[in-house]
Amino acid sequence: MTLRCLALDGSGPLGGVALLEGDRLVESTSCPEGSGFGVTLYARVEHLLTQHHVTVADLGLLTVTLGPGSFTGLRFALGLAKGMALVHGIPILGISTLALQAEASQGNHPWILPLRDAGQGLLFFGLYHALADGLREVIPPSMGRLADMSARLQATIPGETPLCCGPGVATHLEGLETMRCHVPDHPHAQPSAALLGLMGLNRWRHGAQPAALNLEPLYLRPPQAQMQRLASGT
Amino acid sequence: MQPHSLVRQWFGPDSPLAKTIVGYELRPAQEQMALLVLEALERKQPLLVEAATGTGKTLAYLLPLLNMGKKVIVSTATKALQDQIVHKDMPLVRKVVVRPFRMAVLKGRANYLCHLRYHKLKENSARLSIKEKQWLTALETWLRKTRSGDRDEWGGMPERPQLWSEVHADTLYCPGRVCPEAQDCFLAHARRQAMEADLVVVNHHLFFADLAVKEGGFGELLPKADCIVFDEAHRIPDIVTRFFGWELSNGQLSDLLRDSREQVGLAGLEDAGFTAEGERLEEALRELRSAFPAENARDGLSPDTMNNRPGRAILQVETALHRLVDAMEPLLDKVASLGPCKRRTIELLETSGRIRQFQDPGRVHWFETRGRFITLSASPLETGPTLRDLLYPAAEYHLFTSATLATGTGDAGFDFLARQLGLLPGEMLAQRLPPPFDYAHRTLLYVPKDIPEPAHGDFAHAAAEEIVHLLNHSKGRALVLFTSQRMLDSVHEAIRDRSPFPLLVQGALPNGILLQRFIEDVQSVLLGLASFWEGVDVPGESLSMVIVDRLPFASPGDPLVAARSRWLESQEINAFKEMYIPKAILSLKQGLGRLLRRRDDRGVLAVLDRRMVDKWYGRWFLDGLPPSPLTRDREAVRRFFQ
Repeated sequence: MTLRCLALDGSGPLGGVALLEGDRLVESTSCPEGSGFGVTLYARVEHLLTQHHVTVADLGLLTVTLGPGSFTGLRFALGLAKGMALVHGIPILGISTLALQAEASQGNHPWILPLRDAGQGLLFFGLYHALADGLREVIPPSMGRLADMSARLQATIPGETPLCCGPGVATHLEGLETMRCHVPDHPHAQPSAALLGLMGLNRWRHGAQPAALNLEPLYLRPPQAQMQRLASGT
Repeated sequence: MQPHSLVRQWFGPDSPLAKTIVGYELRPAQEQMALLVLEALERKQPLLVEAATGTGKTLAYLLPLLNMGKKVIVSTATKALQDQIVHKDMPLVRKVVVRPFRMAVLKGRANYLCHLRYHKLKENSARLSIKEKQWLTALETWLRKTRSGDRDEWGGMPERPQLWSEVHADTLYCPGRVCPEAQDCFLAHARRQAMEADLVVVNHHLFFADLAVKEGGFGELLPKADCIVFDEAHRIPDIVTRFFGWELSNGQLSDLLRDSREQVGLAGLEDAGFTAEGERLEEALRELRSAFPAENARDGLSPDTMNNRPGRAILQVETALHRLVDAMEPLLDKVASLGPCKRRTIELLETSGRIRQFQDPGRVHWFETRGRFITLSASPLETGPTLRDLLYPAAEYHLFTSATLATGTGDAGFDFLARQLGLLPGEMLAQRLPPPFDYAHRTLLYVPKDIPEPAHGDFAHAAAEEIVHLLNHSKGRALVLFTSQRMLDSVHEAIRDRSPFPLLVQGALPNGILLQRFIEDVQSVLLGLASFWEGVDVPGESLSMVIVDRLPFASPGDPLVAARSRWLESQEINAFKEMYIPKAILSLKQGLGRLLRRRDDRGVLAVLDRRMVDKWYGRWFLDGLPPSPLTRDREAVRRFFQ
């Protein structure tokens, strides 16, 4: 029987839900900005499943974004996914928002650097290596200033020019232009929930271990006091 | 000398202050604040002090700063506080400060008369109506007497504000040093005085407008100072958002067109090209208004909007502006005064382009329609970085004070405001001073327990019932503050025939008159909206109870609020905890702060929102408020008033 996968992305600002049967996309919807992803998520999932005559028990896999991203959106999506997984015994896989962004943005570049703005001059970033069998995480999701990121890149891939992508590029464009990296004309390809589902299915087939109870949002932001020290560079 | 000894010398029982004020009482919170000011000077760190009404804040910061020989700018949010500092506090400060000092008040350009524009208006007075001519005659009489040219000093100024706009010192018409009237220029005189003064009093609008001009690299109005004091500092984030925002409205563009036509008309010119381009702009402005909702609305703009009718309408306006500039070009030789209009056109064109192209990802784009007006704005998502770059390098010391700065106890209580002011913990001093009034014995906080939550359909009806009972206990004498017009209307409708006390309703009369009646008629009840949450100062019996309908959470439907919330959330910050709640606590404190204005005042604070006690965040609200005893029993309110 074909594996049915439900993908939930709450990292915002555009949240999304997708249903896949094997590699075939059944339907993918996104919640327009401002509609309140948390409020509409349950209704959207219910509508999507009912529309295609699928019950929660029919699902073979759940894929959900872990972050970094919207504080509340991630909790809503993960909470719903964990609830369904626990009640119906469905395997669940979590994928970082940066890995999803890297997957959406890869072209011919071997090194991909997804970025999200973290405010106060900080960035969420990760580094991914595009190989024949998929992306490999080289720098896990991290938070820091542009200079910190630059130093880590230098230490990890000296002399290489990674491709920047994601919504953080526009905010930090000025700084990025002084760094050794490639900034494309349209750096922000919005990843869809369908892509999230495909990534989940792919990882599942390659033996990724599911989790449910111990799956937590990937919050990189430390407590406020520590955060302020980080921002001030002290 | 040690800080404690200095403070004792300035505020102690043998101080000049004690000898000057009849019945002088020591105020511990005032002394504590003066000590903090000295500590901030010593550590060269910004200082945030929350000090309630009655602390004596002005003296607490002015005496240390002036006695230590610092050059100070004091900025206030309201004219009322500015007047209090200049007319009430300053005569006292002069008597007790050990060093002589010079003081100046500097206001915005629109406050000062421009001789050049005045003469122009006089030359063209033939076009004025009889009433306008009478106004001009009154102005002439005042002009013979005034030394400042400040309209606030024109006692009994007749109501002709549109004519004042034709004679005030507008930057667009200012020829600067080459002006034939430069010798007598009131604005230049006020600026000279400010440059030479040790203490300059301004308002936040002028201060931040000046800072915004500096950001653009243009001439500045304010002198350099050692220390900048912001009183009523809780208003800074909103004001900064406004002054560092980009804004374009059809009103601005219509004014521009009117002024340009006037300059050409006054020169006696008729130019077909200019006339045609003016008409083209008018048509584009009509289309701009039609491209947005006909009703009053406020909503976000997205790049998608720009691909549709609104975006096309903005482009049409920009095209018309470009053509207008081209049409002005050949006229400039004959009409030199058209130069400023051309400059203004180019500036507006640039603003329009920046908004349309979403040039800055750190801004939220939104529009507001009101009647025939449409305004397009791009406001900064956060104010901290701007202030960090511009404000702190401008002086050595910065002091922020207000009755509402902290959202809770301890240093963390200042996090919300500090973030908006661009300050980090560890690089500032922050203190919440104990209130000078005896809240524990002179007030009661009442939160009903049987009332439905505000989202419930029966809430308006239950709130009206509660208000009727409370007013009976307090015998009127109450300020009832609402968070929405709908709720005000609904409660007013429900209680109008049941209240034996005169009801004064916002909107029925101008706010100033309503307030005057509220003070004069002791038993009256004032039902008000946002504008009454702040700045109402009614000491004594007329205000014995403040009722708030619900916790004043910002509306998530407001585009600025929604965008800031999304932006915080995207950084893994819980917007409800870090923005909605702190903002609501500050608003609630402002509203409830109307109750005790004097030591002998007493009264009840009633919050008709049970979430204040029942929800997990209720504790935060209670910690943020002054220490009034809490009751959930209406009977206790009756006993309090007996």
